[in-house]
Amino acid sequence: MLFWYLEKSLTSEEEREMRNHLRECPLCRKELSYLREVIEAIESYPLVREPTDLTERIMDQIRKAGQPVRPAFRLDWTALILGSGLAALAFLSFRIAISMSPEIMVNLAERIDILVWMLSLKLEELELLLGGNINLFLLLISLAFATFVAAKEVSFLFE
Amino acid sequence: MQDNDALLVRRARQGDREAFARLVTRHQRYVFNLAYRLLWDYEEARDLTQEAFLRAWCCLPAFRGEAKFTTWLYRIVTNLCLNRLNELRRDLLELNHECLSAPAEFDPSSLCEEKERREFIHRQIEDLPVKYRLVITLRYLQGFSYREIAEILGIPIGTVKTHLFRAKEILRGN
Repeated sequence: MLFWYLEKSLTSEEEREMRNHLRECPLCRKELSYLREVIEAIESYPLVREPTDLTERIMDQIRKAGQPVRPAFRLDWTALILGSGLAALAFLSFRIAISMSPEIMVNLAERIDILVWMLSLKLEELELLLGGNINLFLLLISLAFATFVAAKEVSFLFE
Repeated sequence: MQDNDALLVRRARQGDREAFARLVTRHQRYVFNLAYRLLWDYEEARDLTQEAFLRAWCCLPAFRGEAKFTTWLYRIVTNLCLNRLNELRRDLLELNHECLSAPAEFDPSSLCEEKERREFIHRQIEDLPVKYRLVITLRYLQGFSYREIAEILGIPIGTVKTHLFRAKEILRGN
C-alpha cells in the first residue's frame, strides 16, 4: 500500500486514508521514507555512456541496408497477384476435396478458422520478424485471407 | 519532445535518413542503457542497439503512429534483448532468489550510511531477474506509465504492477 502511495496509484479516497494514517503511525512513516530511498536509489542508478561512434555505426548500417523506407499502405501488385493466384488455388483444392469426404472437410474448415484467428494475433510480431519485407508480409496476409474465404465457403455448403 | 518525434518519424518514413539520424541521437543513450541493463555486456549492448535501430528503420512503414514512437522502439529493443538472452541460454524470466548477492535475512535499512544503502541497492538491481529489471528500468529510467510498459512488453497492466511490486520487495530487502 505504501509503495502504491509513492507510485501515486491509489484512489483519492485511499490516498486520503493513507495520509491520515501516516500522520499517526511513526512505523509507516519510517517505512515510507525507506521506500522513497529505494526508489531514489533505482532512479540514481548511473547511466552507462554509449560508445562515441554509436550513431555513426547505426547510420552506416542503415546506408548499407539499402532498404529505403516505403510509404505505408502502398499497394504491392506482385504480392497481390501472387496472393490472388494462391487464393484461387486454395479455393479450388477445397472444392475438389469436399467432393471426396464432406464430414472431414467441415471439421477441417473449423480448424482452419482457428488457425487464421491465431495467425491474425501473430501478425504484428510477424511484421517485426520480417524486418520490413512487405512483399512477403502481404503475401502471407493474402494466403491467410484465401484460406479464410475457402474455409467459409466449405462451412456454408454443409450448413 | 514527442511532437518532434512524430515529425521526425513522418520524415523518416519518407526515406529521410537525416531525420532518422536525429531520432537515433535522441534515443540511443536510453536504448543502449536498457540493452546494457538486460545483457550486462557492453559489446552486446552496442550490437543490440545497432540492430534495434536498423530494425526500426526497416519496420517504419509498420509503425502506424497509434502508439508513441518510444513505446514502439522499446518494444523492438525488448524483444531483441529477450531473444538474445534466450540465445545466450541465460535463465530467462525465472525468479531466482538464489542469485541475490546478499543473504536473505540481510536488511539493507540496517546500513547506517545512505550512500552504503544506495550502493547496496544498485548491486541488488544488477542481480534482479530479467523480468523485474526490465520493468523497473522502463519505469524509472525512462518514466513509462504502467499502460505503456504493458504495451511494450505485451503483458497485462496487472502483471506490470506485480513485477514492479516484487522488484521493490527484493530491492527493499524482503
